[in-house]
Amino acid sequence: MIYLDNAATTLKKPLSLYPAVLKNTIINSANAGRGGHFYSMRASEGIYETAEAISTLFNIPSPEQLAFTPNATYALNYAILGLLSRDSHAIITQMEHNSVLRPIHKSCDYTVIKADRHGNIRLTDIKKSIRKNTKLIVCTHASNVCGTIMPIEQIGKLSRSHGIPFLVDAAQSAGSIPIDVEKLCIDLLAFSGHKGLMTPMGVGGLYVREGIKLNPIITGGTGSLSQSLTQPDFMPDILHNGTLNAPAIISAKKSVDFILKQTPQEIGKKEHFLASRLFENLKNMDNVTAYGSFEKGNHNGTVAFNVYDYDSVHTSEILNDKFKICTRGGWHCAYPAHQALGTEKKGAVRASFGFFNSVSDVAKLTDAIYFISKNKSFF
Amino acid sequence: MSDIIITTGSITSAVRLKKRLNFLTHMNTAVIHTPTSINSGGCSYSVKTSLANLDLIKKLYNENKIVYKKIYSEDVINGESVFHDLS
Ligand SMILES: Cc1ncc(COP(=O)(O)O)c(C=O)c1O
Repeated sequence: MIYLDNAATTLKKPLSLYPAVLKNTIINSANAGRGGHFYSMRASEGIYETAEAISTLFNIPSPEQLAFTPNATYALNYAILGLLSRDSHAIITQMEHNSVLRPIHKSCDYTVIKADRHGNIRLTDIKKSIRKNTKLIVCTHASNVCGTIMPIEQIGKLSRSHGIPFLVDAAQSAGSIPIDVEKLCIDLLAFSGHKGLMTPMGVGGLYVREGIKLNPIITGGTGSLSQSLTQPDFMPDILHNGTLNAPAIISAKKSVDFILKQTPQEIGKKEHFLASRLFENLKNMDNVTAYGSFEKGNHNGTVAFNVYDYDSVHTSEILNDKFKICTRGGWHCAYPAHQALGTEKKGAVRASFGFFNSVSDVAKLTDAIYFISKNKSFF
Repeated sequence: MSDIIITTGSITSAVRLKKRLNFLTHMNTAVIHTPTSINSGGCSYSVKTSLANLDLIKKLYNENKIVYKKIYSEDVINGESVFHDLS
C-alpha cells in the first residue's frame, strides 16, 4: 500500500520511535506527577525532557508554558473555551477545521474571514473585522484541505499590535514548517503530535504565552495544590488534568529529536516538492481539477483534487481498492474551506505527503488518477 | 551537613530547576515530593540539595537564572524532620 494520508496522521514514524514505545510502556508506565517514588519521578522527568525538546523546536521560552493534551482538538478547545465568554468576539478564517469552528461557534459572536478559491485570505479583512470586544484571533497555519499556508507572521504582528491573543492551529504545520512562537508573535499554539511530529497517537499540546490566563474548562487532579478546591492557575498544571499518557509522551522525544535533526525546513521542502510534482501532473490532465495555492507557492505537502464531478469518497475508494493508494475523500472536517474551493457538493480527494514518501509514490498516484479519468466504467 | 529543600510550583518547574542546578553548579540534586508540613502553598514537588549550596542558589535566583518559591533547611531532631524557612 502507498500511504498518502499524512494530514490525518503519519503512519510511518522514525525508526527510533518503535523500540522507545515498547521500552517506555514497560519502564515508564508509572503515574507522572503523582507521588515521590522512583518510577513516578522517572516518568515525570521523561515528560519534561519531551517538553524541553518541543520547546526547542518551537522556540518556546520555558517548557512550563507547554501543556500536553491527547491531540490538537483538546488543545484548541482548552484555548478557545478558556479565553472566550458570551460577550466576546472572535475572528477566524474560512479555512479552519471543525476543532476550531465548533468550539468558537458555541462560545461567542465571531467573524469568518473569507478565503479565495485557492484558500488564501487577506490581512486587511482581518484588520477591518477587529472590534472593541475581539478577544481572540484564530488561524490555521496550513489548510488541512488543500495545504495553503496562511500569513501567520503578519496576522501575529497585527494581533500583537492590537493586544489581541493570537491562537495558531499548527496541526498541519508542526514538524514541516519552522515555527518560532516569539518571532511569529504567537500567543497560543495548538499542535498534534501524531501528524507531522510523527509521535505516537495520544500526544498533542498547547503552548500558552506567559501572562495569558485561561479559564480551565476541565478540572480535576493535577498532583499539585491538592488541598485546594480550585484548579491551579499556573501552567502546565492548569491543563494537566488526570493521568498523562506518559509512555507515548516520553517516547515522543525520539520523534522530536528526529525532526530537530532533519529540520522542519528540510522536511517541509521534501513534502512541498512531492505535492508540487503531483499538482503539476494533475494540472495538465483533462477532466481532473486540482486545488490549492500552488501558483503562489505557499502550500505544504497536501494536494486536493477531483476527477470529473465524481463523488470524492468514491474516487478515494477506487484508489484504495484498485490501486492500493490511501487518500481521503469527503469534507475533511472543514466544510467552509470546501465552500471556498468550490468543492462543497462532493468534497475532494486529498493526497497528503509525509517525510517517508517518495517520487515513485507521486508517479503511481498520477498513473492511477489518469487511469480513472479515462475509464468512466469505474463510476 | 544537612539538606535544603527548594519548593517550586509544579513537577515541571521542579524538574526544570533540578536540571538547571545540575548544569549551573554540578551539584547533586534530586526532585522530591514536598513534605506535607511545608506544602501549604501547594508546592507539591521540590528540589533537595546540600545546604552548602544555599548562597549560590540565592545568588542565581537574584540574577534571575533560576525560579523557586521558598527554601527550607531540613534537620532531623529526635527522628523527626524540622524545617526552617531560609528564603
Ligand atoms: C487543521 C487541523 N486542526 C485540527 C485538527 C485536529 O487534530 P487532532 O486529530 O490531533 O485532534 C486537524 C486534524 O485533522 C487538522 O487538520
